[in-house]
Amino acid sequence: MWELSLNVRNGEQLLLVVVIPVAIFLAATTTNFLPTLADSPVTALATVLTVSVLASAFTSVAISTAFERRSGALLYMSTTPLGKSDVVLAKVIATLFTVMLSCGAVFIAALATSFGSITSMALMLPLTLIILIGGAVAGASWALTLASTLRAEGVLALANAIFVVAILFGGVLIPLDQLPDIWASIAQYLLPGALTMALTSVLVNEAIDISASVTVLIWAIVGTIVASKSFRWI
Amino acid sequence: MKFGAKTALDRLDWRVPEGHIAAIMGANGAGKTTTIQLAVGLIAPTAGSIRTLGLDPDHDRAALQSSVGVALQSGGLYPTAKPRAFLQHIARLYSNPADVDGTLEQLGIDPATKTPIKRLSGGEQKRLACAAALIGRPSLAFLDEPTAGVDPVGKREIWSLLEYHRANGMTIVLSSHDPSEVERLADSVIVLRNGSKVLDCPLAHILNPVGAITILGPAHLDTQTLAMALPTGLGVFEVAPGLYRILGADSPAIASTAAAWAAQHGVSQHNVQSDRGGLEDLVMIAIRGAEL
Repeated sequence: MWELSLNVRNGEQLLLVVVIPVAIFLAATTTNFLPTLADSPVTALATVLTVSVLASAFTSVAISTAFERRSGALLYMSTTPLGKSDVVLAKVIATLFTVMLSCGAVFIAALATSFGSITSMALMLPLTLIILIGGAVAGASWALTLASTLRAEGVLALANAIFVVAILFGGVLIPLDQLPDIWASIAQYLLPGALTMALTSVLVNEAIDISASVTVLIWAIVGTIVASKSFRWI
Repeated sequence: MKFGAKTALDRLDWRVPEGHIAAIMGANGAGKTTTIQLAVGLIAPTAGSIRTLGLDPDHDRAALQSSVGVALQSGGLYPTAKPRAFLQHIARLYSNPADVDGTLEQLGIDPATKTPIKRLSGGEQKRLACAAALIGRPSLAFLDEPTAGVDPVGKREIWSLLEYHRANGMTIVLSSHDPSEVERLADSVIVLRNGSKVLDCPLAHILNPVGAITILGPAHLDTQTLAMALPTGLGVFEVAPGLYRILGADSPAIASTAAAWAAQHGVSQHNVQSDRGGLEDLVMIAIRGAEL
């Protein structure tokens, strides 16, 4: 609860995980700045859910963890009865809550603006949830690795830069088939592109994109292993 | 304890009795923080063994943590949290915590303050770190320079809180650069120099309101002969190997008796020094002795 309350009360984090994804969804569905999303609220939902996961599980976790590491808060908490494993567990739970908060806000925006087309895919929600959790674990594990590698200011800059580049050129807001071929063939195996494809396939086509889903899973497994080896308390 | 090629602590042999306040002194980089980090399991020793409350802090860390409170030198307080909410969060992690508001008031921090921790002054943050270490009423607390940068009033508030907890049976290990703090609080003191212990004794063997004489010479001389030559009632202690302390020395006659004894053992006159019976001079002599 403590971890979560810190996340939620931090204004910049709320802007990142709630306001930005909801604003992108509304802009994408009500204006024509992203033509592929304007006509299909479900495609827009699938796409913006990836934005939510990247914002709440990757960028937000990387920045907050890096500053907790710099302030010594992580190290201090590891000396309390919480201990190291519970500190990590608290972070995981708080992150999942934040991801759900972010995705929930986007869902509500989608229901409010495009009720008819969204309710038709209600049956796919459990599968969507599993993919979102996979994406969240992948994003958060790489966030912890980044937070353990650089100074806090460096993490702040890089995590935000990766977020912007990922949603613009990672096969998220601009579909892979509109990106240069060489880059698209790489981006489909990166987390943002694969997560978007996996979500789009489930929500739009009501089918499982095995290749994209397995890619997300591999990012999550490799990320968890790398994070557990690289994580630093101080 | 080694960090790479650098030896941070070298064969430190030290015990702290239950219910005592024990102080670690020494220059920056002497090994004070390393000692505390080893004792709470934040780092593992490269050689030797440590027992904290009878447990190995490296392996039994989880079991140890509910009985130990820690105040890190660097703080470790959540910058965006409010002091009271932070302390309540820490208190909830322990089974029998002290009163949060009472502890904050005792340390001169307004429990109702809305100021986030990062906007508190350095001294207030130190006080809050102390409060966090003690709020769970652990049986053992480690405080790394708890009063560094704290104003005189704040220092006294922290000292009173530590004395209160000692009176209730808590064992406290603190590091400090302030001789007057150690004189007021500690039951015993060790002084580290470059990772080695150069002094380890009860404060009762160091302090005397009248005055003291310190002799720096070979280790383990026969102090009985000196004690017999002195007026009765004066304490003579070897407070570290080769470091002798005569407590209650207040006259030139005692000084010349001490000098004569020292000369018999080949100790030159400039290694016999009178002081006001405080800790500061002795720490300086102990560190100088280790350099000889």
